[in-house]
Amino acid sequence: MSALLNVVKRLSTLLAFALSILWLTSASRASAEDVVNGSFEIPVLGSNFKYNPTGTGIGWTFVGGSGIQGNGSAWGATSAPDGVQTAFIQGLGTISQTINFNAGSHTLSVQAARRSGNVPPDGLQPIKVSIDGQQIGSLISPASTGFSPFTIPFSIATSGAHTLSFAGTLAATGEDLSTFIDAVVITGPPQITFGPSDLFPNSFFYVLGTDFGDQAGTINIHFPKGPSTTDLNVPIGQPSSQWWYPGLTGGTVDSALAGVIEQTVDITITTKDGKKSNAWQATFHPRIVAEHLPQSRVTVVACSDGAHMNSCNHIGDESGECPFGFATEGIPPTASDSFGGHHHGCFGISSDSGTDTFSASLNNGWTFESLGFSSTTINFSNGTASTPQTVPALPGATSIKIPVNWHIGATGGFVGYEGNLTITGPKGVSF
Amino acid sequence: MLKARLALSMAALGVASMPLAAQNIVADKLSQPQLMAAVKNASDDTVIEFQGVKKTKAQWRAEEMARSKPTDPAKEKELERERDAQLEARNIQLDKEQDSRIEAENAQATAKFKELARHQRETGSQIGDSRP
Repeated sequence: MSALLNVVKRLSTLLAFALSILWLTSASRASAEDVVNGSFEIPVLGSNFKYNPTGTGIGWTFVGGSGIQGNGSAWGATSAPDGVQTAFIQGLGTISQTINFNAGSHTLSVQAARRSGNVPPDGLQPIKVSIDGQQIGSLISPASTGFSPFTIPFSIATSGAHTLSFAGTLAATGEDLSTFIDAVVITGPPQITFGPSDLFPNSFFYVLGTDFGDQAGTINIHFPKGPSTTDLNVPIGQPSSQWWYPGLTGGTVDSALAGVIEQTVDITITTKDGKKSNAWQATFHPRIVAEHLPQSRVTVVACSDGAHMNSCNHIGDESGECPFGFATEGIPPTASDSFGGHHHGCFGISSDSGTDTFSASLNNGWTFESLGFSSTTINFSNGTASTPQTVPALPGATSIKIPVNWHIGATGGFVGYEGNLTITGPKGVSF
Repeated sequence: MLKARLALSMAALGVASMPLAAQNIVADKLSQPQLMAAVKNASDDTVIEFQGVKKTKAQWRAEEMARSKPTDPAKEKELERERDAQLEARNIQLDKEQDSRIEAENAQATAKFKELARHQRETGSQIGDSRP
């Protein structure tokens, strides 16, 4: 069954990788906020211009004194910074486009220039930029006839369709003021579209997506359940090398990461300019280590009092007196044992049997792995203790009971035993 | 529960305040408290008969103490060292298993990353300042 699951998991991984390649090579690699015809190259106008153009691929809705012009047109604009055409907004003209946005922080960048033939000659046509009618940023008022870049950061509360618009703001009588705009680009919050399903300390992983930016930002792993570590900034790439692309990056989890239990974690990236991505969820598997369970974590559920003296984990009677005396030193368990017991039937007195029961529980992903049991460390006198079978059986249990059956023969004597539990669990996490 | 297996031949057992010298104690029916009191108050040369075997109290005690000798500290230390060694071996094994798995997955992820990075470069997507 587990083999089948492994095959399924492998196939899923291969499929995911194949899909990621397809994703990467397809036109749909563009981010959700891609602006259609952001450089106003459609329709092709040569050195002409057109008010309120419509048609396939134009993307924008032009209203009033707005349209597209080509280099060398009668508008006299400086050459387009992106392609060979720009938009123009004259008077109160507007251009708008409905775009699918992801929620989060965005940046609008646009190139703008004033018209050299404005009336009055030095007049400006400030452009108001809005999302769904709400102005974002300051008015764009290019003072130069050469194109200059403008950026406006803004935020989208809800993913979905929203309308971006540019609108002229001045149309006084006797004035003819225009502004050219070009190279409209919206950079959305980074989106992770593919990432790892499992993470370990020291594991290299990569994430695919959009809008990671040109310069390396940061990769963060959030551990909601901690307990010792809740957030980890992952070094980009493998040690000392920077691996960062606008839609692809990778990092290596700290090899010494400890104090974290197995859990679902959130992987996010933050761009150089501080935009945080959606969370990609993966299962984190901590480094597993083995330890001995200390005696302090074992509870004596029942310590049979069948013999003359009885003790379990040194709880009970260890100082009773037998007619011929007995050695009281070295009664099991020793300090390093997880548990142990001792039953003494004075010589010639008792033939007895009983069952001692111990219990123990673990937390934070720790489980019991094995039980070592010894009844040979002391010189038994007519007594036996059988190797206990834990309930439930090991390994894998997080809570167990350990019944130990003991017996002292007809001529009395004593029995002692000691057990050692090995447990495994996440490194640096208490059990 | 405890069963008395010895008896004393003398009725006065258990009441004497001084050690009883040279008195025979014959195993038979006797309650545990009676037996304990009798043997405790007997002198070392008192003969105690148990299941047909006669020995002095001193001889019985020597045998019992020999049989119930305490745990050998040296042997306990050795066992503790063995346990620690086993635990260390287990941790080494766990490390190897985990490192091996992570190494394999890292190699796979790195290869995939390089392939994806090549696609990004070849398709002319915006490549950042730093690249593999």
